[in-house]
Amino acid sequence: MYRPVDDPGLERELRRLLARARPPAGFRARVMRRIRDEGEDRAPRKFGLWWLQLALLRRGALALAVCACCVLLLAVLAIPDPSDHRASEDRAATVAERELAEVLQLAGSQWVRAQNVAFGPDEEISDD
Amino acid sequence: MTEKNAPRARRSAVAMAMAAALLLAVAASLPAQERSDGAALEFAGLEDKADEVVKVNLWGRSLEQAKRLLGLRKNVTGPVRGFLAGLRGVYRRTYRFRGAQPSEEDVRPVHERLSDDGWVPMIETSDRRRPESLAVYSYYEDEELAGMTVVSSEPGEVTVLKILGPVDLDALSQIGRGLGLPLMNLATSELPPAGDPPADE
Repeated sequence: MYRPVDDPGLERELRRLLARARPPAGFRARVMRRIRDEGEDRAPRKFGLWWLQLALLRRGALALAVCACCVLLLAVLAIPDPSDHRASEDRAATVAERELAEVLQLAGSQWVRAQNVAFGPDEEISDD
Repeated sequence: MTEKNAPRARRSAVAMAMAAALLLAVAASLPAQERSDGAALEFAGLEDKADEVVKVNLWGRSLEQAKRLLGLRKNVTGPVRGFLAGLRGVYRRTYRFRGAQPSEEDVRPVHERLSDDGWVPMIETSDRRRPESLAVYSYYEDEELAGMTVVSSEPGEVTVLKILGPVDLDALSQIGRGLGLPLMNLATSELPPAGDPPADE
């Protein structure tokens, strides 16, 4: 059973405390601004991490590109110029031709000499 | 089912093993075919004693290029051209001595090696009064002349010349008389005058 409080001061105080108060004007706007501000405070940290990741990725890509360039350079330097190669082959062929002629002429002259010693200058061994 | 397939699997395994062996044999034979015969012309005794060594190994690609170039020269006669075409290998070893001269003992391994390799002496000459000798060896395959080796020894020089391939002796005589091949500015000391008989004749 409700019984009225004797002390009117106490009752007034209780009514004030239990009363459903409306938020002060601009409360909602302040809360929203604060949330937004905190988000903005956090944003640079996020951006820094992302930049670091990107930088790391970029560094890897850069290293990869440098390696690719080195390989390409080595390949270009290692592959001889076709004209140089051809000139070198021509020189080698000329030397080989001279050597072949020398050996055949030496062998031929020794063969003739051996025939002359063995059979006399007018006789010859034929392979016929 | 598994027992039925077992002989088939065994057969295929054997076939695969045989194929692998065949591939290995082919792979092993390829380098052997391309191998130079110059290794058979290494004489360490002479080389150690010589002051100057000339080595010529012409086979495979280098020989083909040399033959092609030489064949293009205008002084080359038909028989010589045919002789050139059949060449499979041309080798030369010249050992020059300024100080100590090579003895018979130094040259003997050359003749022994050739005999061991199946070369047959065709002409052998030597001079008792002078330390000179000349030997011509031939090599036959299926009763066909398939190579010639000349070993000459004279004061200050020992030369071994090996020609592999069907040897046209007439063409070689032509070349020896200064015909059939263009002169290649050879050192005159290397070429004894053609047809010049030895001093004792």
